[in-house]
Amino acid sequence: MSIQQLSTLWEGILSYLHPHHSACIACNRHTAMTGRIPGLCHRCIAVIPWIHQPVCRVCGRAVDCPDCRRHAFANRHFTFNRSAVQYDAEMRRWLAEYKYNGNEGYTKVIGGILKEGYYRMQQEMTSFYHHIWYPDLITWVPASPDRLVSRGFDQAGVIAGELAKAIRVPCLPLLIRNRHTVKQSTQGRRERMKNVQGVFSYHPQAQEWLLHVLQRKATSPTDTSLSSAIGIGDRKNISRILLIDDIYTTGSTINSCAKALQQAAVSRGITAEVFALTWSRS
Amino acid sequence: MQAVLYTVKYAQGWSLHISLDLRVDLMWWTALAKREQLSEQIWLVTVAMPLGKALQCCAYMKTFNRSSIQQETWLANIHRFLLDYSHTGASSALGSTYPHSLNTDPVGHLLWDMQMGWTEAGEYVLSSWEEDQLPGNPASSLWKRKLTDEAVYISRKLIGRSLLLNECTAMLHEAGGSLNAWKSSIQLAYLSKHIRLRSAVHPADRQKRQTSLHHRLSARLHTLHSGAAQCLRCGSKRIRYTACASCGSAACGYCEDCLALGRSRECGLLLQAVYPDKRTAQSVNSAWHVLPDTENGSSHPAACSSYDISCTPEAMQQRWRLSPAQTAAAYQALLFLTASAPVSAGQNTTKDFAEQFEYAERRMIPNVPTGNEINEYSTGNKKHIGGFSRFSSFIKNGQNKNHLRLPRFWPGRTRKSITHTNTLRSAGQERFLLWAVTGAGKTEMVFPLLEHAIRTGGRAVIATPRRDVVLELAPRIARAFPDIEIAVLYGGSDERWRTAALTIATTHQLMRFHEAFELVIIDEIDAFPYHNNPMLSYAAAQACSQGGKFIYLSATPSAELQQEIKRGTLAHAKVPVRYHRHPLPVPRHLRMPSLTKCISSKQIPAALRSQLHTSINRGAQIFLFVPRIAWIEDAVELIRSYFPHIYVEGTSSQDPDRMDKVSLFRQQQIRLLVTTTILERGVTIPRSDVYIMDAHDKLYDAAALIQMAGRAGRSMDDPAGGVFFASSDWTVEQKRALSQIRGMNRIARQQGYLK
Ligand SMILES: [Zn+2]
Ligand SMILES: [Zn+2]
Ligand SMILES: [Zn+2]
Ligand SMILES: [Zn+2]
Repeated sequence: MSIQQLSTLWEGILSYLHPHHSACIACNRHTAMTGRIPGLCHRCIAVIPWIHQPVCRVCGRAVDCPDCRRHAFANRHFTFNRSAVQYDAEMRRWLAEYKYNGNEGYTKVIGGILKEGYYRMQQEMTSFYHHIWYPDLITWVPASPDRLVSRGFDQAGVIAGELAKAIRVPCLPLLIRNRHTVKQSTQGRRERMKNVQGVFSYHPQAQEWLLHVLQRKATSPTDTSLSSAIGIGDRKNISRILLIDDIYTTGSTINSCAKALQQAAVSRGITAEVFALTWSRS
Repeated sequence: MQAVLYTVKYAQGWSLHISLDLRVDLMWWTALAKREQLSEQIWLVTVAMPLGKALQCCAYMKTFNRSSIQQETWLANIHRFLLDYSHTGASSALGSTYPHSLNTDPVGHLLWDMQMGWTEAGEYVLSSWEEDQLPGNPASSLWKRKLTDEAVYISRKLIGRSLLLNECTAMLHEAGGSLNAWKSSIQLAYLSKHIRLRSAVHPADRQKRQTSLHHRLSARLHTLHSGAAQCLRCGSKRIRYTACASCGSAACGYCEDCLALGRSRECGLLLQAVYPDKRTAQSVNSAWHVLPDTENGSSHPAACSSYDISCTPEAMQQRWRLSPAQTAAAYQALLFLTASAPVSAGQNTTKDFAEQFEYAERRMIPNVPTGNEINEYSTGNKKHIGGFSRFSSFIKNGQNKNHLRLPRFWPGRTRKSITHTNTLRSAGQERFLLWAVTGAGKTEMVFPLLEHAIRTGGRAVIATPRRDVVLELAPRIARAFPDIEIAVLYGGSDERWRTAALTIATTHQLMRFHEAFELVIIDEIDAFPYHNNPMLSYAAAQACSQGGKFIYLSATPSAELQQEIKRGTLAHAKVPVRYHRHPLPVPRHLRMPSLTKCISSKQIPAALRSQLHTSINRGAQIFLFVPRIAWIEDAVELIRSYFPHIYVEGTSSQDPDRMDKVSLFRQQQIRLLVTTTILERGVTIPRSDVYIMDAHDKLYDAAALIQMAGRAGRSMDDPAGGVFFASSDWTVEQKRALSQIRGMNRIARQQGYLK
């Protein structure tokens, strides 16, 4: 038996004896992993500031929300936003580690949290609409091309893909970011609103994809039986899109993405409902 | 990022290169050919492939015997490498989001031929332009001139550096240089051998030549997939592979260990300075006027011809106000620095031949790996770009040796210990350990060494693991050397890219240097970042120039270093006495139940209680060390209940008010400070007693115990502070600490250093 074989054997034995025993991505401690959020130890999971009960129905904020009452935001192209967690100092650190330092070990952490946020959202929406709520397809707020090249990955796209895989919903790049926006955090609220106008447009194939997904939905037998059983047979012409991003601040990015998605749908006579699920809410 | 891969045919063989701007390469090789009739053909292999894979391909093809190979075989082998790489999943798993795909055209495109001139494809390449490349007509002299200027500028700025592309652009940006054509200028600097382009994460090289081609290819692929890759910046082998949008690879590796300094990635460029070498520079110059103006270089301003190298211990003692023990050790370290570089010994005969051979090979195959180059200096060759000169050249003159006499007044070590220094590290870098007890005043001892290195034209760095030490050292050193430029580097400092004769840096910052320093002083070599941390020793070895020297400072060298001393493979000098020439306080044992028991029973044993009373009454500041942060609060409460009349506080590394509490402790407002080992280094309190609770704890090794004990009795006014090991067991580590302290005191007494 070679040394190589021997060591793999030992690793096997070890992993059998100590299941999920590895270093926590966020704090580097070697402890048993709980598995609820992959890659995190129980202590780090305990600090996650989940948004259990959104106060604002529109944007999912955990505290009262003047933004959504403001007149300017009446022109909304998405239905609701829900965020998995509040954007506190620790979450900011995790996201920065992931996005800016490029520690892609966080993919499963951020993705895992988003997934929990999704299930929570699904529960809430289901009881709100009185039927089982689920999206027909998933898309995400894309990074700008130069940022994609310099960073090497599109964080929202990656976590959207992970979620789509987990809940078995198609994930498609419906949106395109046209020009590099000036870093939002350096701008005032009004500039931020203005800045994102026309930044996003829909992918040349977006309309086709939307049609395709609708057709598939119409022919899917489980879906018809389910919807007729609940008594909402007419939902077949409505395409429900779940838009993913890492952070919701003023909602202007999500809104302008939703607008582009609506335009794509309208041009083919499709009614689209855009819901947003963001990883964090500032 | 992605790069172009192309190959050049010579009369004698083939070479394979990467390019960031192929137009530059085309101009370069064809210009060279016009003068020297070297290159015959240029073939484009692929216009865009992941940089890391492209460099791996170059490295792989170098293992072939390129002189006899046929064109078909050569191109077919390149193609095979590319196919193998793309078949093994590197590009197949790409999603629709990553548009780049590898162009594996079975045959290369001929771009240029010596007889035929430019082909259509060649013309096309010359007329093409991408972002970050220099626009204009590559054949025009204006274009070449502009490019040359930028390349010279970049090469100068990169001297001694090892930077990722984004760090390089940040540095140039800060220097005010606008860099809109960096691809072109970096390419030229690379072709002219002023910088080396590497992928930041690269499979560990296997230089072994194997017989059959097939065998070699499979071995190559094995290294590609067995995860044997290494981060060339920090040396780590913890590489994670992810899909990458910047190079289009589905498995592009990045280093997980140095993320904090910006991501180091397989397709990311790592730019490293090549030590300026006159011979190559000349060949470059004759080909294309690229050579940086060597005339305005000369040695840097701090180098001083009037510096008296024949310094005597007496002079040194006076100039730097050192104690006799400091003088003796510092002088030995100085002898170590002046000892001639062992590379020069007995190689003179073979040297010329090697030089010629190397030159010839370089002319023939322009990308010979530069790692094995003989980086030696001849004496007359002192002028370099950017003003960089080595003091080894000066040392090799030899006459100075006569001036170095061993002073008679110190006993113990003689020249014998110096001969140990000839035991080399792998890169010819030698080490010397200054083993100075806590409170010996190691900073002062370092001054004459720094002075020597700098006045003889070298550059020096002091690297210390802690930022606060950097900040504390900087003003002291600036005062000692008012006429020398100093760069102070730490995470977040605004001098990040400064180049100076003398650098004070946190150890992490060493990663941004490459063969930059003749003298590397590493403070607290036993402190945690080095301790079992190959990353920092890798960085330190990279930052030290070939033939440069290391000086380690430590009060508590690791077991490994002590072992090396015993074996005689590590040159060293001990400073067994404190600056004030009183012996180190010897720890006393207080037998008592463990701290947790005390806390749960809310009882302080009588022995400890009365000892604490004594300390308080004599007006001492009291350090009380506990092994766990979680126990601090309870310990503080317990002590407060017994000593309500004094101010008791607790702090740890996780305490946001730590700085305030420490300064209150310094001001003697807080009389008793409960803390963890975090305060063991650096904090000096004039009159202090040290209590180490649970000294038997497994977290405490001898080094930690000695460091904590070292907080006591540091000042001249109160040299005999008390040190107490409070524990239920008398462990091996406690014994070791005690015997090391006693041993140092014994040596000090024997050598007559004690007052
Ligand atoms: Zn954790
Ligand atoms: Zn709201
Ligand atoms: Zn690294
Ligand atoms: Zn890459």
